[in-house]
Amino acid sequence: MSQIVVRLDVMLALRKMKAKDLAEHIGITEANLSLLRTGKVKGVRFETLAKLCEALECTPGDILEIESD
Amino acid sequence: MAIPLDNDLSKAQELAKTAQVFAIIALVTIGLSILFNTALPAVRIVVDHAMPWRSRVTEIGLLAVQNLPALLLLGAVNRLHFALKHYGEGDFFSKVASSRVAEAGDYALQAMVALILIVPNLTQWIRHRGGFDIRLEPEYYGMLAFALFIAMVGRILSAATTLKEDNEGFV
Repeated sequence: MSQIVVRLDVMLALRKMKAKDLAEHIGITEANLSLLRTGKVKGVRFETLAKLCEALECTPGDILEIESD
Repeated sequence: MAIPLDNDLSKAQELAKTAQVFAIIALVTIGLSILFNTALPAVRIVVDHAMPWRSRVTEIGLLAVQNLPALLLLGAVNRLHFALKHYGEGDFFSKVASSRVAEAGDYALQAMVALILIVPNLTQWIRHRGGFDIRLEPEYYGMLAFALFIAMVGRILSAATTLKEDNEGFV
């Protein structure tokens, strides 16, 4: 089964942004951002995704990727 | 003026802690009442050698049957005590706590069924009268409905906490 992989670390590195600053910017806790980065969440809200894209100046496709087995 | 949410929650927590103390008092009171109404008379019957053994067994059986609703209500209060313990610890959205509320309703429902159906019929049969008896007092309808609703509310709370847990998996 294919699965969604979160590429937030790559985007943070590309934008030279710290996770702490991103969490603060989009208004979620560092703990939740860490869970999101490690893919340990059931899902991501459209609202959070929009804020992430805005902060990282990217599209959802840059953050989320589908990986086949 | 709106009261802050934290204040509301800590008030609810304090209320749950107070209610938990009352639940313990109720448990002890029901327990002692069962002890004095069943265990002690049963011991008195057992040591009463003037009474034929058959009558002794019948009387002890009647005592046990008549205290069945109280025993079930003891279970109901005990389950509510556990639920209040969770709420007192600030665990308002726990699935365990809402399951305890549902179980309390189940016990109360069983107590009402025992009161209406089981106790009158078993009393008849133990006394060798036979037949079918049903004890329906006007207040029993209300108590039966109340117990049923508590069981339902517990299940609804349980479903709501599951939904909340599910939502918390989303960032």
